[in-house]
Amino acid sequence: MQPMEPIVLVTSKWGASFNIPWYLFLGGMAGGTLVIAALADLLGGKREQYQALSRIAAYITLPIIIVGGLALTFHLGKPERGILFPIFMSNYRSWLTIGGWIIAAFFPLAVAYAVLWYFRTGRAPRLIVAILSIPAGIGIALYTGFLLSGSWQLSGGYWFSPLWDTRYIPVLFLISGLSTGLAACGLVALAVDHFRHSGVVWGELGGAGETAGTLSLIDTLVIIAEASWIYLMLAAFAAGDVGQKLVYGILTKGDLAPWFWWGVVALALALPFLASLVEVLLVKVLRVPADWLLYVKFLMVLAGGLLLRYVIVWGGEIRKPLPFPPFNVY
Amino acid sequence: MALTTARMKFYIDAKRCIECGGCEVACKNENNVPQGIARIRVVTVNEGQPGETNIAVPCMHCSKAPCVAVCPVDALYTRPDGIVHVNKETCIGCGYCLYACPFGAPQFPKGEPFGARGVMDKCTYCAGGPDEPFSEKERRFYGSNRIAEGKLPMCASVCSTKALVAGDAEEVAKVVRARAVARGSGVGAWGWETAYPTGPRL
Amino acid sequence: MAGLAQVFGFGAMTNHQNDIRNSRSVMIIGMNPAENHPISMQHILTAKEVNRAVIISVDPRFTKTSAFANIYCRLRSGTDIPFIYGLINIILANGWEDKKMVNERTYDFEALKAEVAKFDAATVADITGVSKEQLFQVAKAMADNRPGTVIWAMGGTQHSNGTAVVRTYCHLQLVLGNMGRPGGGCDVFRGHDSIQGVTDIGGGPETLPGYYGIAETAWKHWSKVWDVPYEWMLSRFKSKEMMEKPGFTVARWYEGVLLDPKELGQDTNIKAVFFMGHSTNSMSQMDRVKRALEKVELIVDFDPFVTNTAVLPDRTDGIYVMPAATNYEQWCSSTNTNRDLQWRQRVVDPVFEARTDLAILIDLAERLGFKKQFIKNMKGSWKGVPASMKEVKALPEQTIDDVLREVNMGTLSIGYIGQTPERLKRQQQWAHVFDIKTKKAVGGPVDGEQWGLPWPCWHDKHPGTSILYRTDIPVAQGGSGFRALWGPKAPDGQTMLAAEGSAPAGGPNAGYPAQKEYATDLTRGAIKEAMAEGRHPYGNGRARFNSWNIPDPVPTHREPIHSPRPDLIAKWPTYDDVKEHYRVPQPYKSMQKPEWAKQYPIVLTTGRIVELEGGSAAERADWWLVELNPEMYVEIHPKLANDHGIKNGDWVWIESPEDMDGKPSRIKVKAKVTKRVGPDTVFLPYHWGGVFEGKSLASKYPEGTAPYSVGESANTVTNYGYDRVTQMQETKTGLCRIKKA
Ligand SMILES: Nc1nc2c(c(=O)[nH]1)N[C@H]1C(S)=C(S)[C@@H](COP(=O)(O)OP(=O)(O)OC[C@H]3O[C@@H](n4cnc5c(=O)[nH]c(N)nc54)[C@H](O)[C@@H]3O)O[C@H]1N2
Ligand SMILES: Nc1nc2c(c(=O)[nH]1)N[C@H]1C(S)=C(S)[C@@H](COP(=O)(O)OP(=O)(O)OC[C@H]3O[C@@H](n4cnc5c(=O)[nH]c(N)nc54)[C@H](O)[C@@H]3O)O[C@H]1N2
Ligand code: SF4
Ligand code: SF4
Ligand code: SF4
Ligand code: SF4
Ligand code: SF4
Ligand SMILES: [Mo]
Repeated sequence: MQPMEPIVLVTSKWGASFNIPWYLFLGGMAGGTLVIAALADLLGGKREQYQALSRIAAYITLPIIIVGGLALTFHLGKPERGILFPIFMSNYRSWLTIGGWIIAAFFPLAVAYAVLWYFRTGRAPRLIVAILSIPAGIGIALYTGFLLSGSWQLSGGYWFSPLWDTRYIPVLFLISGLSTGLAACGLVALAVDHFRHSGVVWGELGGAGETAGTLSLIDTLVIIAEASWIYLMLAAFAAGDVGQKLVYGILTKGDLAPWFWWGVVALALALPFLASLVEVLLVKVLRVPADWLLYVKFLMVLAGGLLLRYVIVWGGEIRKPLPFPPFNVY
Repeated sequence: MALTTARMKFYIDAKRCIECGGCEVACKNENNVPQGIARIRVVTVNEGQPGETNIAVPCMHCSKAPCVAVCPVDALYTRPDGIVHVNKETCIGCGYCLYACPFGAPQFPKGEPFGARGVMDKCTYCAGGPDEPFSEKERRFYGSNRIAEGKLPMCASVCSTKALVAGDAEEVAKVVRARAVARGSGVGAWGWETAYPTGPRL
Repeated sequence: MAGLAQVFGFGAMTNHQNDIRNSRSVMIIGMNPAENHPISMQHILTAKEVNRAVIISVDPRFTKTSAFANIYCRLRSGTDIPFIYGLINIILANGWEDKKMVNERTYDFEALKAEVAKFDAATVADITGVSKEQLFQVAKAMADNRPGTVIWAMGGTQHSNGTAVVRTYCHLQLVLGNMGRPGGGCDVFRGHDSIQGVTDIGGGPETLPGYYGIAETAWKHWSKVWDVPYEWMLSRFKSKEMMEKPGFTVARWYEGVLLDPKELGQDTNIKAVFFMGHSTNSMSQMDRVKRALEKVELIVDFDPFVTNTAVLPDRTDGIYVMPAATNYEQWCSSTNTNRDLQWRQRVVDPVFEARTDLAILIDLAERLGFKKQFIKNMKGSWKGVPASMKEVKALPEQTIDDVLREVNMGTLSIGYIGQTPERLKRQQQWAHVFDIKTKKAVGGPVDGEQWGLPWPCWHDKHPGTSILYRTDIPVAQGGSGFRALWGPKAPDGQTMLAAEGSAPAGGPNAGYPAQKEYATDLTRGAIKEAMAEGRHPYGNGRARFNSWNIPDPVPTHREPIHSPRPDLIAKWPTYDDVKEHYRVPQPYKSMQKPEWAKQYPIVLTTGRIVELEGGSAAERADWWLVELNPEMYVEIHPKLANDHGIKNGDWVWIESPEDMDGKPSRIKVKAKVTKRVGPDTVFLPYHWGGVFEGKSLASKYPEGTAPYSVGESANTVTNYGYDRVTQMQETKTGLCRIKKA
């Protein structure tokens, strides 16, 4: 019997340029921030207790999704055709088409939310937008995962990229989207707080800094969820078929291992978690201000989230080996 | 062979290919394929060691082709004779088909990371494209149209060891069967089950 | 070729490639058909699949062909004779030899027995590196699976004892009784397109067309064919002695330029070279070639592409590059490795200023003043052609017909008679009725003919001889015995005629000498007479284990001139120096220096890759091929690479004692780390040129003619060494050392 060998037939397209990993990262993060904006708004009640946070989240969603969308468009060989997607995209089984429409729904919501906050048009219209924003945000984060794994689903149970497993990747991207969204909001909140005295606008966002600690704690919970999910995924791969085992090997011991261990496990999960613990210790027990540690943590979460997308995109090039027929001695 | 029922297939015999590269060069020459693009390429495993095996991989023109399923703009489509074509005038160059394809068949011109990288190109089964057969446009976009001329694909025609067999499914199946019988076991039909699955797909 | 001729009587592949479909074992030794004869792999793989034939690959490298072998033996380059003798030894010890074949159809088996006795399995393992067990496995596989074929090419011949090596392959097949049967045979795969035809037509410097030699009788025969007086022919030469003295060979002509005439077999140096479809980077000892090219007065390179020749020498004048038409631009007949002739159609008129080879040759004859004699046999068709050739680019199809007719008329020795232009063209039209396995036509006007009318083909109804020395069919259907080339008796008095019961069917059932004058009787009366009696015109003789008239009558092992084993040099030294061989001195022993093994410890072997051909002036100018194989490289085993701190893709220097005085030559190439080669050997493809010892010559190409890829030529570092009989270069075994660049 001929030993199975991975044959990497794909010559990288998505992994070679930064467009797709950045898009997946920014898209997921935008989903996260818009959900945070809506939740903060809804939970803040009539007193608009978390209005500073909600505003920050809504404002930053815009540039994030714009940059992300540009990255998506410019990875296309023919961007001009891509921009006119409603005309061109006709295959509604394709996640690219579905995704096009999700972005098409998401973007106006994000714009509306920011505009409504900026002009303070009263609560009712905002709440409608908020309620719509939650599924849109979750949708876009999940979709970035389906975009990858959907090629599997759509091609009818064919599983050429074992890493891009529909059972794991969309949820992973959703969790990571939330985590990075929280980190982005926390980071901006801290920064705003830092400059709080400097003007009217800042004034309106005043007090955001206080939420940073809470955001960090929530993020830590999300990180635990993310870590558990990745663990589940790897455990399943380790016990899976040839293709999954191959992916498991390359991810944990092979070419992608440094990126996975340092980029994902350390930067996105372990170190932020540690930072959180230390921060709680410093602030709650020793009563020492530790904003700097929060900065570091949020930055690590962001960097880790980006590297996670890289690892997953690169890992998509690992193909399930098409088995050679058994070799017999004639 | 009634034309209406013809269904084109490739048989890649992993026990015969000697990595002579004839198919690759003939394809490029026949279809005037741009530099850096290989519509068919030979992959070797265990080079220089026992078990050394070569396979030449074109587009298999899969039944229920995964690439067709994922293409957002329906630029990919399956002709009645099973040949999978890309319409270069609608393709947006997203690269999605490449990730759906088990054989890595779709090809993209190399370009700078920022600039447009153009549309997808892949093996046409030497059957031109959606344009008027033998038109200048078809030739420029897709290369030759040997199928319309009643000829076999170029790569299979030149294959030195008949490792690459092309033609109507029934004819190809005969070759596969004959070799299976001769060898006792192991037809060496690499990728066959993946490209032409017998069971239904989801 | 010489080796085959010395054993059987003819220097040609005995069976044909399609016939391998009948084989039950296939030994591929010193050849790499997956790269060099790709189409033949169809037949080899069919034998493997349908007959369950055992494929045995014997090669210092695990080649693309070895990948398909059931048994692969890695042997040290230059040790084929011990390997084969080891096999024969085992065969004899087990009584597996074909006694009928040996007794009835061979000469001096005892002499062979005595020699092979020296090669017990342990000795063989020490010399070759092939284990005892593996040797036995191969011997048994060949003995159990008959008929089997042995096929080889340059791995067997490019040695200082290449002719002897080839003879041992033939001996193995005689011992196994594989000769003269479908599926058996000695199948040397020839190299270039129509190279068999070139050999048949007298391409070598020691013979006129048809292997007649260059003695007076030969000249007289051909003068008659050419319809010119012998005296006129004689008058063209300096003397009768020079007329009958073999000239220089392609391997060492440059010594005729470089050496003092006192050392040469003629009293002047060579002053001009005319290359007609040959690239200088294929010649070993490039440094000397370069110097010769710098010294000659005139160089003409007649080739469709600008070759290495135009850029190698450091000179600014005296090189003329002339565009030759390709095979697509001219009609011709060609003879392939199967001895098959095929008619070739012209596809386009010669483009631009290109002219065909024949046009150039006639023009040359015109300018040298003997055009009238040169074209005498191109009769009727000659009318349309202008009086002067100076403007003519190509000749009409009938002229080419006439050339072939002249061949039919004169080349009686090997039966180039029935392959008339008419029959070849008819076969071309009826190609589809020939069977792929037997090459025999079924039905149609060509019914019963063999594809290509392989020689000998005795008259225009004869089907041709696909398989030589086959006694189970009548001569009229292509049967024959071994050629009775060496008279009825050997010098020791033993008979050279086959025994009773071993003759082509339907004729006298015994040995008989060649029909008198069958090769020179232009009326073909002698041939007709023999055929009428069911006798083969060239007789029914015995194959020779003992070729008494050449060096090493019974082949023995001789270490390569550049051997990595001083201990074995002592035991199996090379030949004594030869004072004159093809007009140049050819030292052996004085060139075999055991101390080189210390300074240059690595075996250097060279060969081919599928994408490129020969000097590759054409292929390296083809973008698609260059894309597949862009750069010159050296194959190095991972261990050797690691020992030298070399990684895949690194630049390395290869140094060797290339020149006769031991002055090192060197080339700079990329390392390809691979297990194809063993840890004691490196391999260089020899197709590149245009770089010399690290210096690119690309700028010296005339504008727009430089190929896409230039690279060091392997032959800058291949070592001195030439076959004792044919002067074939010893480019398969040399020594070198490597350094990271
Ligand atoms: N190191 C090393 N050296 C070797 C060998 C080796 O194994 N190792 N092998 C040796 C062997 S076996 C051989 S045969 C030689 C081969 O060496 P060469 O004889 O030099 O081989 P090619 O490069 O094929 O030469 C053919 C030339 O003819 C030209 N040509 C093609 N068609 C025509 C035509 O119709 N007319 C004319 N006039 N020209 C034409 C081509 O462009 C090309 O330049 O190399 C030998 N050298
Ligand atoms: N693609 C391509 N095809 C060609 C040619 C070409 O240039 N390119 N050239 C044509 C010509 S002119 C010729 S002559 C033929 C030659 O055809 P081959 O003889 O097949 O060519 P090579 O690659 O030179 O050598 C064959 C093998 O001999 C092995 N070898 C080296 N030393 C020894 C030894 O001592 N003993 C044994 N048993 N093996 C040894 C080498 O490792 C190599 O794998 O190919 C013809 N076909
Ligand atoms: S081989 Fe790939 S590109 Fe070709 S039809 Fe199948 S999935 Fe599509
Ligand atoms: S690259 Fe072109 S053909 Fe491929 S999926 Fe995208 S639009 Fe369709
Ligand atoms: S079928 Fe035609 S286009 Fe496809 S790989 Fe073969 S030669 Fe190229
Ligand atoms: S032409 Fe045939 S043998 Fe040669 S590389 Fe292609 S598939 Fe393999
Ligand atoms: S290159 Fe030509 S001669 Fe050589 S194997 Fe191919 S078809 Fe035959
Ligand atoms: Mo050759």
